[in-house]
Amino acid sequence: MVLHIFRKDWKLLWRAFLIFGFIEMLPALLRLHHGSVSGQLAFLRLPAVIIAEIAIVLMVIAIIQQDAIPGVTQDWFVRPIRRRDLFLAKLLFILLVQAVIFTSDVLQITFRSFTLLQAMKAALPHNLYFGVVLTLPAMCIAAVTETMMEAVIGSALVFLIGTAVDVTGTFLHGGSAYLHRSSSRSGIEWIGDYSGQVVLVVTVSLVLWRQYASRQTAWSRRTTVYGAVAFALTLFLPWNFSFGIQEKLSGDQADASSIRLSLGQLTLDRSPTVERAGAEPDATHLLLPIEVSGMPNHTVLKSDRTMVRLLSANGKEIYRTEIDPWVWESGTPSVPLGFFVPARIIPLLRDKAFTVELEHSLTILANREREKVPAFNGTLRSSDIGHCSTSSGRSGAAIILRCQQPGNGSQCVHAFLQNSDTMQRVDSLPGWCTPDYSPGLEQISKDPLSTFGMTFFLRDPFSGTVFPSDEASLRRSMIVIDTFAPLSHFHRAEQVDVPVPMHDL
Amino acid sequence: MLKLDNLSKRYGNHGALRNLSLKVEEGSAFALIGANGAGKTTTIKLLMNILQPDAGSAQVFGVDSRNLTIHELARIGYVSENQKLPAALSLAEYLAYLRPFYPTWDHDLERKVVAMLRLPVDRKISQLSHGNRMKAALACALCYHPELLILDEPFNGLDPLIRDEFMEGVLHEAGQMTLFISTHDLSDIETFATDVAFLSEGRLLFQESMESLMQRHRAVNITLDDDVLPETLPSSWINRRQSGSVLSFIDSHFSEKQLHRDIEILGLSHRHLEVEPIGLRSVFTATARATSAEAYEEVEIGSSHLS
Repeated sequence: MVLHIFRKDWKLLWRAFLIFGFIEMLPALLRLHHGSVSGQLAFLRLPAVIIAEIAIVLMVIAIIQQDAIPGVTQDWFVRPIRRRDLFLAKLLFILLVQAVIFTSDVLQITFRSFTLLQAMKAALPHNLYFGVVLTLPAMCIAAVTETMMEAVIGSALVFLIGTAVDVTGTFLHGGSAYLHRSSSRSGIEWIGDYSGQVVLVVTVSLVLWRQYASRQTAWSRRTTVYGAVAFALTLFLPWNFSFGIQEKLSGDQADASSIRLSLGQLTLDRSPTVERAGAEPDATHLLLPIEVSGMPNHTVLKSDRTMVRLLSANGKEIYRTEIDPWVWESGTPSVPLGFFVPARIIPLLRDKAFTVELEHSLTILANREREKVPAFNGTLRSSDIGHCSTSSGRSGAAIILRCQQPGNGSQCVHAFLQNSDTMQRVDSLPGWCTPDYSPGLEQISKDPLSTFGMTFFLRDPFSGTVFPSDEASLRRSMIVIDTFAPLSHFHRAEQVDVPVPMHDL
Repeated sequence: MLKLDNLSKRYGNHGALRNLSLKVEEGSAFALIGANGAGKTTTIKLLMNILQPDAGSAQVFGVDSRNLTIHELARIGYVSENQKLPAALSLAEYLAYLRPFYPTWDHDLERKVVAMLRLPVDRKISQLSHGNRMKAALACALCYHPELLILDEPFNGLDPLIRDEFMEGVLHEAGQMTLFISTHDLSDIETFATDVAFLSEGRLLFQESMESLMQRHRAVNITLDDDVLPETLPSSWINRRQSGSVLSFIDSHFSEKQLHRDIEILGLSHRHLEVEPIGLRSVFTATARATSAEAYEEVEIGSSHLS
């Protein structure tokens, strides 16, 4: 009877499904039309993706609500229709919806000259992403509402409340967009993401089971609300909890145990070039150099987060802040860790002994691959980082590297521009990657294709050093791209006592 | 066939159904009557497992209504005034959809019923009039020879012509099926109902065979020699009215012998006594009025006790 019910739904929805299919293909058609995202119609891509996502939600709701579950007037309640068959028929139709998304993804990726296998490998996790974060919640809302209007209002409410939670969280964490989760934009962000997705899967499974098995609409609506609250809570997972999970997953800590961190003397930074973004105008910038030893070969040490606490002589916390993530590469003498102390705190420190305590969450990254691409109109096809090309910036003051690869491109990439004759080197901007430590399964991504870019400025604005930018020199220059993979995660706490008095303050 | 045992259902603070117990025998045409809001539709939705009872139980074919399976549902035909058929399908498409679910579906009967009810099968259900939608729902409920046909307020909003066609369709195919019909419109059921239950404000006032109900109700007019009445009159004399020396009432437990004995005991000297059989509508309205009067008295007594 599953196919029989499916055929009935198809008869009712085939026109809507054709429109849905066209909408889902729009992003692929846009890619076909202009190739790269920087083409003339690039501005249409975001609206096309948003419309495609709305279309998924509406299509799923329409499928479920052909035989709405709540209410007392639906004809199917009094028919000898197995609820299991009804559910499977809906699921079959929804799989067809997912198949359309999959096809659109595969087309988008193959249009960018990737192989069909690569495209399918990347489209599957993307499909899973839509399945979990869009299709399942849409199924849930459709299962606890009686009409399309109710479901649309329900979806809009979920969206508005979600946005409100997002915005509230953002303000609570200093106003930086997407930084409300302590692990946002770090390698352990996947833990929060996966937790939220597990909550979604469990909630929706419970609701669908109860609704199709016994039509417990009041219970299911309550569960939906509880699930939404639990999902919102996953946005606020504490850092130590998330990183603790990551440490446990990283297993053997042998590589980490040999590593020694040592702190130098705390000094005042009087450099005029200090980046003061986000700091109070009258804040004081302090520097604390850190040295690393005992690193395994071909590895770098990346801090995922470093918290600094200033403690009074009796151990009371005076101030705490977070230091920007830092990276230690072999051959580097020390890394100066800088942090701002607001003017109101300084009187509490001046002429008093205090302790600086650093708490690091660290990851050893192992160099996996090294690729080179000519700096002058070079191209590279790599299994590791996808398709890359280099070009001169519009003003000729920089070299730009752009890479595109199927899937989320979770590799951690670091690159520099190097003249093959003089070995003169310019590091990229942005510098070090934001890695992804998700285990095994590639982290599900919102876009079937990921793009990253790096800029190499040919003149250093601070030191005035110039990288030879004539065509002949650039032809002899290469961009060297290193990819890294996480080897081990661990945390360390270090303290340094600041003697009395620290006159500079 | 159907058994309700202390069935109760509340909507918030409102008790829609209060300890309802009744039995419907196989082969009967059972009419559940009551005013709007009496609990008829709730009873039917509980029987069909569309709603869950708060207390008590309902059994259909000996199975608790909460555990009805597709095997029981395949033996039940259900037509309700507010039944939502898939609006975007034509009746022909919907009949084709329903066919495989019913092992006893009868194609010849389907053709016969559709022709008899003069249904436009190719028109979308959303384009059908209310009357035709009800007839379509009936067609969808008859074609598989259901053993039990449940009709929930089927006549609401139907014009007399459609109503006749509808009932003709029901009765033509009735055969051995048990019919359970809820209505507040009594004229149509009087001719075929074998049993009647009367619901008022969620409570069952009585359940009785039609024959005995009609036999025990009579309209009585007594022309008295004077217009003075004793303080108490028999409680079976309901819906009493006095106009001058004429006392009119409905005797709800009529027997000629008992009526004469009551008149004699009360010492009512009279010139004329007239006894007439009454229709179901009169039984219903008299009982409804008597019930409301009793309820009113109960409230009055309750409040005087309280004060």
